[in-house]
Amino acid sequence: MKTYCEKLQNLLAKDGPEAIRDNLAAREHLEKCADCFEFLEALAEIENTLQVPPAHVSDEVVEKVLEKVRSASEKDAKLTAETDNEKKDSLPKKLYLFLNRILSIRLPIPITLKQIGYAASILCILVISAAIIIPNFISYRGSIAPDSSKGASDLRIMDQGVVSKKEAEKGFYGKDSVSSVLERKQMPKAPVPASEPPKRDVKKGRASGGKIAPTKKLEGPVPPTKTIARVDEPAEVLADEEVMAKVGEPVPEMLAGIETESVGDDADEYDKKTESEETKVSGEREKPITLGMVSSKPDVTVPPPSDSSIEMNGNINGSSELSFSKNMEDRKEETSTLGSVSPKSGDIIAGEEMYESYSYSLNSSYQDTSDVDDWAIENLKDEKQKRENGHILTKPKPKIIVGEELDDQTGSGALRARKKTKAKRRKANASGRKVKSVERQLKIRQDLLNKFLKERSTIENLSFKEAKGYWSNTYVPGDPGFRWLDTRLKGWDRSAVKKYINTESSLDNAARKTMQPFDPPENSALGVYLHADQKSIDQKSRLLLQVGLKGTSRYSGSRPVMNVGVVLDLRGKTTPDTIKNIRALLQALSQAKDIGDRFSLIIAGKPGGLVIQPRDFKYGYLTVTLENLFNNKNEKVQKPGQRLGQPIGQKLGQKLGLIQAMQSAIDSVTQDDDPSSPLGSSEIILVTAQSIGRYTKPLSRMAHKSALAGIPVSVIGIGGQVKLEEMDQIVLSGQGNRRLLDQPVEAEDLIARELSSASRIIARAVRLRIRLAPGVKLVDVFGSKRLDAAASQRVRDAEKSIDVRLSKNLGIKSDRGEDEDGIQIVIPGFFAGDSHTILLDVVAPGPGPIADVTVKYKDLVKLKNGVARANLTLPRAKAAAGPLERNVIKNFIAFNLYRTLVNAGKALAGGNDTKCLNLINEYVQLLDAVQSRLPGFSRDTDIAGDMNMLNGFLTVINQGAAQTRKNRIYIADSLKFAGHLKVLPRPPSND
Amino acid sequence: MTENNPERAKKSGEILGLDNRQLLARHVDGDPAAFPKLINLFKTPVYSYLTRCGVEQNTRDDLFQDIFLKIHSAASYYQPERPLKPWIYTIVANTVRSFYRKQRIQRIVYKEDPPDQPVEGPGAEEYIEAKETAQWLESSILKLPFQQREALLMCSISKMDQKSAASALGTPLNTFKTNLRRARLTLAKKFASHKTQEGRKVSK
Repeated sequence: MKTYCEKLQNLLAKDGPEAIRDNLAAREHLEKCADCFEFLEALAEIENTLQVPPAHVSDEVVEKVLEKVRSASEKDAKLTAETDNEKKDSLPKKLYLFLNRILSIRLPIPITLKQIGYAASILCILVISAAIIIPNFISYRGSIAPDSSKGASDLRIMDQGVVSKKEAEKGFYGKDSVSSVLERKQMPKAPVPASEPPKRDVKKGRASGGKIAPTKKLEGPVPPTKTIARVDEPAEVLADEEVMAKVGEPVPEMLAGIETESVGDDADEYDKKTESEETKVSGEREKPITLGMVSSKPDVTVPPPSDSSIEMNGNINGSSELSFSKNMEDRKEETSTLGSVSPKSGDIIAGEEMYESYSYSLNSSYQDTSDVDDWAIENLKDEKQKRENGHILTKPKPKIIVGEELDDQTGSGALRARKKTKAKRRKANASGRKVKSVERQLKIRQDLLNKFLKERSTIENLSFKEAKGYWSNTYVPGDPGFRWLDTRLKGWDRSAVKKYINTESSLDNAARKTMQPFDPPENSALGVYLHADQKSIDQKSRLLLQVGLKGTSRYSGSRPVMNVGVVLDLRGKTTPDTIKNIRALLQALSQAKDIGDRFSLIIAGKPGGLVIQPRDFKYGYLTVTLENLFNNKNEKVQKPGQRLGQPIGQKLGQKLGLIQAMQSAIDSVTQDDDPSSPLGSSEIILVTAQSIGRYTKPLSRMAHKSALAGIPVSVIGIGGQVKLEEMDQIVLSGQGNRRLLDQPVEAEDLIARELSSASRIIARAVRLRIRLAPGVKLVDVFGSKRLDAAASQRVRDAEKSIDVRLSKNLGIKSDRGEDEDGIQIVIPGFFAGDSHTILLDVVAPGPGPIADVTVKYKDLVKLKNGVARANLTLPRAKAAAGPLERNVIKNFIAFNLYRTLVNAGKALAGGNDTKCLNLINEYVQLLDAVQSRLPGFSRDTDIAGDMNMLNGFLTVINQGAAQTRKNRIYIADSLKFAGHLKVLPRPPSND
Repeated sequence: MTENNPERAKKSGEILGLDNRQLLARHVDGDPAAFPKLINLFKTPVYSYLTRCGVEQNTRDDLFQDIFLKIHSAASYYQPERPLKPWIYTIVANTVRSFYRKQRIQRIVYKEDPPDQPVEGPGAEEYIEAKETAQWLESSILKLPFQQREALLMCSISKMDQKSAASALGTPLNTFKTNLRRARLTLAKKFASHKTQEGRKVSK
């Protein structure tokens, strides 16, 4: 026992009381063991005491700090300005300022001594400089001097008798001049004719005409090449050269009168490195180097930065430039395509910077992938290359046999020859057509991809929305809207299309929702994830932000005792199918009734009102009532004395309108509602088989009020006449579920799910707050819109009502009622195991913080207030998109595919086959381009599956499967259903 | 909401928001309002840390100023994408350490504040008891080994998670956890016995 106590106390000391939250044994032990309990109390008290500040800093101290910081800032600013000025000053002044700074900062000596110090220091330096430089200048006239008039990188080589007076006047001796000049003075000169420029092996980066093709200007004086460094040269010179080489600046060849010995192994390695890096040197030297020996070793041997290859296209005398290709892909491509020009940033169209890395790797992907397109590209490349090299003719000329030639041959031979020629011509034409067709297709794909990428990367002429206020909730709990389609498609005899496509798993069966990489939370009901479609940015960029929610799979428990009022909308005529469905639904409800459940039935549109009271909701009574209702035997049902119940406020048998019936149901359920029961255990279910029409708004208002009172309103639609939009409106206001019933056999499952929905909810009043960092602008929230003042107020009221109710019922502390900054979305309830994503289109000003997300919710698993947070910061870099980033892009593609398929389905149902085919075809091309061009997508199974599915649809429609009206409707439904499946989870298989 | 309300944020132990992370960058860019805001945000925990580390009143103010001047000097090195709290508390912890290194001693005697005005009225007893508890605790904290004290204070005052607190102190996470555990064990056991003794006194 003692050991356990020690262990427990150690655990508590290490991780605090949180450590035993889920440890039942420990909690039981704490209740029994006084020592441990005392220990826990002591810990809690210590923590509480530590939260109280022991002392407070006085305002004076804070003021002092601020004053000091202010003065320090000013000083810094002055110093910066001074430094800037110093940079512009002349050398003596620089020297003076430098000494001044040293003396004033480092040596706290009196001012008079300072002045003496200045004078002495300047004098000493001048004397030493004069003693060293002047004799050298007189005796040696060959040196390096950057010509300031021609740019920093301009290089002049001076030799005895060659240096001009002007240049001599301008002459500026670099850091290494003192020592290296002394060395060079004694070196033997190797005369090289001025007219003969040094040669350079282009391939190996050696001098070839001495010209280096420029792409980026070099700045600063160009140091001598490594090859000229003698072994006995001063160490500092070598060191400088090495540093320059490391930095990656080009080291031009030279110099007059210097030994041409190489630095041995290093130079060889250098050379090899250059070869491997494929540093390209091309062009010609504008002005030939007139003096000195030329190194036999590569001069322009510049090791590139670790992640870049270098292309040098400049000349030494002109402004040399360096271009750093963007990533390793380039290098790979350069290596593979010898002699070709590496891609340049200028090749990328404006606004595509975001996908630069994608664009860059296009060529490299040709070699990696082995699909049809790549094969075609390879063929095209080969053919083009062959044509350029003259290996093949674009159009093979037929051999014409005339005159003597014809005479020389027999008639049959001539005929054969003609046939052969024709065959060859046909073959050539066919080949040409094939090439053109492939070219055209590739162009279309490239255009589509470019358009797609451009749309995603455009940052100009965008209209922005305010990233604040309440936005509509896109998570509709319960059955998704496409259940109706699913049900209809189940009745489709697919044999009609089977002859066109082989497998069962084609068309909508192949559609899958993109798998979200969200781990379910371990210790709470909800987890939140925030990702972007890019890993890093280095400038103003357009981004896709994805907020992901994931609910734990842990269910809250079995369903509570339910108090349900069913409103049956029987306005107008009811078809036999509808009657069957209604019967099945109500029978299923009576079957599902458990101990303590209270169900009641209210009729709208026909005389009856509250036809079945809670105590009478039994199989027999229900059967009789329904029999009477649908066989127009109401007069019998309504006879006084029969146990049909009395509707509240209504006379028996009175015909109620839909509004009145709803009000009657709300009153009835409210009367029996137990405020201490779980939220959702009392509810209203509106069952309708027709359009609600003008009653939608008043019903929504009533549903909202009912939800505020803790009684959600759900709607069950029967048959194909219902309108989903109207149902949604009521359900969203009433915090209930929306369900569809098409076949009587589905009634049981539907009712089971509806009644257990309260127990499947793992989080209530989910308040999502998305805050964009300063400077980040919102373009749109996909699928959502900002709510007006009235709608926002309704959301607030609904949230508050849940908050209060849960506080009363479950003891979860009430913490709502305040608005927050940023985008606010309130989800009334979140179901176990569900995941939901919200996509935002934003423009970020640059690297740094992008957004943060806070999700507050009532955790029904842990019975506490839960908070989940995530934030996103993008670093300044050029990192390729990883799996998480690709997932965001995939979600965006899926969202677009959903829209496309729904539109295609509508077009097909409306008889516009061409539009439908075009929409699908374009998307196939786009997906193909995405798969083959964007890195990381080449083996993506989701995209491959989508392409297969779309191709299946194309085949079926092209082959004429949609000729009959029945099949057309089914294929259209299948298209829509597949679209929905891309963004919503597939309904359970037993639905 | 809480991100804009430092006091509330502190109470709830929330992480600093994006705006607050930008304070130093704004200060470097010359925003005059940024640094006062930063001081306002951190003055109480930093001062509490200094106090509980045993820095005396007369040097505490200087050290406080020194810390914020260091923050100002190093502001340009701060990367806004990194969390701010560990960065600041690293400076705080290092300043305190170097202060003690210079002093060559660790002050373990808690100097009591001058006696407060007598408290009367409802809740006076509770207040006095709480005050006594706090005094006892402050003195007990000062008796802890310095490393344990650092770990405890860093975790409690800065409200950082253990990983961040360990990184702020520059100690390995497991070492930090061990120090924290020992500190809490020692204090809790002492506190329990202290309470028992107090109870006996009252009963006598």
